[in-house]
Amino acid sequence: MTTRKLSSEKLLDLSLLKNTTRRRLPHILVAFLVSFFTVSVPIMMVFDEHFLSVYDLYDRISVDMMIERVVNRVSEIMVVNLIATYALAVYFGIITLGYMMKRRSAHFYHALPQKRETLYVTSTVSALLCAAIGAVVNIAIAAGELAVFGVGYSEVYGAFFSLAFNNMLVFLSVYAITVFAGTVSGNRVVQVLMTLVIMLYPLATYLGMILVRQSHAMYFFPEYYLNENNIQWLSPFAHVIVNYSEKISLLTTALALVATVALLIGGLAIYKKRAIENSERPIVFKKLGSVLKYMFMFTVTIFAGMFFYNIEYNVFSLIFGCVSGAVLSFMLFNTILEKTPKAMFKNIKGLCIFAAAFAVYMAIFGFDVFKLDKYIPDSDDIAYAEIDLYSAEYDDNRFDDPEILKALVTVLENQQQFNDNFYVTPLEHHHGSFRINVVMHTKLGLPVARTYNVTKYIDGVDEFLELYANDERMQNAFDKRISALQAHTGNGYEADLHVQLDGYRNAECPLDDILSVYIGEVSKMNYETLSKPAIGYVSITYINTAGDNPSRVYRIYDEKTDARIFDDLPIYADMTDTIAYLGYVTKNSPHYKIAEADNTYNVIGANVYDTREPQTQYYAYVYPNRGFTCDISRYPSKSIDMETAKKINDLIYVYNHNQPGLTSLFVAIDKDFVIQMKYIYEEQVLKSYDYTKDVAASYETLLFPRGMVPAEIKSLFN
Amino acid sequence: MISINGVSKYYDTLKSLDGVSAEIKEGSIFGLVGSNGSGKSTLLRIMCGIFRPDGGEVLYDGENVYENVKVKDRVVYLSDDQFFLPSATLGDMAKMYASVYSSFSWDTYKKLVELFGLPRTRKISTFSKGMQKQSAILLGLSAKPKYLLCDETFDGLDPVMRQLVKRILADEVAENGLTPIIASHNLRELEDICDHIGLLHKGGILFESEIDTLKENIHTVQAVFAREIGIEEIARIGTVSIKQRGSMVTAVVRGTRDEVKTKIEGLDPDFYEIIPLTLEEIFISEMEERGYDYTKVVF
Repeated sequence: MTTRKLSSEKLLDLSLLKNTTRRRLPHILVAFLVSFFTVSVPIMMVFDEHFLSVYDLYDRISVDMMIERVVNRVSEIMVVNLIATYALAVYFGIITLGYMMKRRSAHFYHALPQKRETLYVTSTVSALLCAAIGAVVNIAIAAGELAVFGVGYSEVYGAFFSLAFNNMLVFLSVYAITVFAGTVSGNRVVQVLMTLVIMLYPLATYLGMILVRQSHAMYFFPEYYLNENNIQWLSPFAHVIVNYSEKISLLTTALALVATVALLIGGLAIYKKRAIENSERPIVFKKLGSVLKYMFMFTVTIFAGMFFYNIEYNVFSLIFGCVSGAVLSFMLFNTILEKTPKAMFKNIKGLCIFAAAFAVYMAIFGFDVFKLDKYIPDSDDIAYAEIDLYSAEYDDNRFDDPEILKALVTVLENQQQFNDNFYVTPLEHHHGSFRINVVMHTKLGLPVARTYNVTKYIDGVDEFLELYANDERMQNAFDKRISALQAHTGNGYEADLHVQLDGYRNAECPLDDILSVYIGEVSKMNYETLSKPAIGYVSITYINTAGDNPSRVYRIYDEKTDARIFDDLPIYADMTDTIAYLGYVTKNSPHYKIAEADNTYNVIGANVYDTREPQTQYYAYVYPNRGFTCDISRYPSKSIDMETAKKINDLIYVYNHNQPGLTSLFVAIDKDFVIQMKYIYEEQVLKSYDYTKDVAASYETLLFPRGMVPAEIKSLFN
Repeated sequence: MISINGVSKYYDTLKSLDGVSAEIKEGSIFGLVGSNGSGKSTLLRIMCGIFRPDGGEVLYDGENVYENVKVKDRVVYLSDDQFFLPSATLGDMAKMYASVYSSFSWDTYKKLVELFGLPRTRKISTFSKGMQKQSAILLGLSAKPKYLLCDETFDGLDPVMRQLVKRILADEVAENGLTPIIASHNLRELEDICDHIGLLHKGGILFESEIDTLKENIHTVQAVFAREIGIEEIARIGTVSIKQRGSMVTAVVRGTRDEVKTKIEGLDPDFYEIIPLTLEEIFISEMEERGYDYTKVVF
């Protein structure tokens, strides 16, 4: 008789662990092979280019090149690597609770004199031990191999161990999810499905809900909700996809480990509650099965509805999709839960309740019956707002100044009112409107993310833009960008100018020359400067004359943030030195040219529109997130003769075409009148295309810069 | 001693056991009989701590068995549907048992292997059904339990092996104080080994008693009367059932042999004979007395 003591209160029974691990020796081999093919082989492949041996290659390439290739290869192979590691983790998760999935084995193990926690912990530790043994043996062999082949540099080892570490984290978290899934499911197929559901459900459901919101919400700002920095936390898959080329951060490492421990402990808690008689049931907790069914149906219904809606864009398609998704998923889940197709229509009452609840959900979020989309918090209730205006995005976009928050809310409310009345946007021209993306954080901590296409014709816009442009961040942003440009002047870079003045020009000049002239003349970057219409701009790229290949042209990137920097410099009429310098440079440059395209048009007449009174559209079709169609013919108009039209065209054409992004946003426009020019091609162009004059006529709507409306235009409508 | 106190078990809405109570004394061999679906296996699984009862409790010497390692270390459950580790040999399984049962005896194991003549190094999955049954019994007994719960253990064993197992069980009871609880739907199987019997029907124990007591306290009397005698007159002596064919009366009478003798002689028969009942006949009588159709309760 043995003299072994009882392991009654131990979490880990060493004797059982030894016995279990011994029987799992084949699984150690599996872990070794996966580790071999995901860590060792990819690393060794670095040395295998052109089928050369390690020794041959070692003679041919430098150590630095070799290290660089190893490090790069680590990120290149990450996706394949992770898929294999996912599969291994799921495999080991299945093994861990394999004894729970068959009635016979479940009864056998639970009749043994072991507590449930001992069985669970011992099996889990045994599985992890097997995986660890396989991986460690492989890593040890591979590390030794690197040393033997004379490539055991610290960087190579660093990349190698970093890869192994990444794999380990992924393995642990997916393993924990699989074990957790196994504690609620009674067969292996359902366990794997549950693993996928746990990993993907939050992300899929979230994306589905975003799709629903997006379908009818005109001001919904999906980019905020789909920010990868946020959604990556909804799924380990998403996290890996977003970060696969990066080194795993300390935060991710900590979270993965915490999640692993939490899932394993949570799994144990569930395991202890699990009724052994429910082995072989798909979901061992009956109520949980129902909850999962309706959760699953919710997501499937959303995607089915959205799928059909995006084919036809009508309510019938949406309803058809939703009904199909709900009914089919209901039938499928019933069949899985009851293990018989006869149960497909079990609990029709539940389906009806689900349908009613889903209809309410769609009414609230899909069709926005309760006008959630139009909710704008009172400015006093906003703690701060993150405001982004296209082409004028500050590094720090948080605003908590009550004055600008009030101006912001006024603009948004007025824009909504404007849209609610289905007024015709007087102009779709990019100077006449701008996009504003805003996240208003209420004092209760609720983020309200919206996007608006703001037309400059509504009240409150000027005041808001003035406050925005006069914020010191505008000057800081400009200074920072100029500094970034200047940082390149000492490196042998030359400016490759694309000058938009009285025509398109292209030239080269030293970067520091143009900057010194420009900086000497540019005014302070505030609303006063930016609201003036620019007469042109300088777009700068640079040529690295110090490099091996001077013809290669790069855009300019900030050295610290690696972000492409602002490199379109506006030119105003009063910047005489800059204009003179550019004129000199471009005329003496071998690349000098003036494009001809803009001179092929002749103005043959124009219509002037009186936009003082907003006009309602014939019909209002709302593009989600885009606004209304522009039907300028709804405004009162007068035609003017060719001579007057030519005169006005010469006066304002350059202001409508030579605005760089920044001034285009802030430039002040006249809100009372809009002019639509009628152009025609030159005769020779007409002949070459064989067009008639009538056919070749084209129209362009131009804006008057504020204060530049000629008296004869104003008198037209008096 | 095992005390089963008001144990109930439901599978969803299906009632499997309904307030089952019984007491099983140490050293006895308890037979649990009942038809298919009567709840025998469920009761055994609760008794060995696999299932948690929805109501009531099973106590071993006053300690609840559920999640109680100390108690379970003294209990071995031999399922009707044996499980062996994948690809395991008898030796592998013995190592497994030895790693979890504190009293596992390698000596007993070796002795029983010899006795059953089973190969130690062959995979159990290649064994015949009967050999697998023998393996389970062998391993269970090697764990030296105090209580052995056997579910349809004799099914699949040939008559020789059946006798061998019965003999081994009897020896263990005598030498080591083993208390086997044997569930079967076959009453005849249990008759010659069990000293206690419980009848389970529709989730409840209809009755439980010592077999000897049962047998001692009920007898069949066959008597011949020359005179005219009515059934009512015979019934006065305390019969359980009476059948009359002409002058011959066959009655089942409660009481010891002497009591029955006194009672029947009081009726002045010309000839009489007292015959002991088989267990099956006792059950038929008991069931009929309780208003059950025996054939629907057992078999």
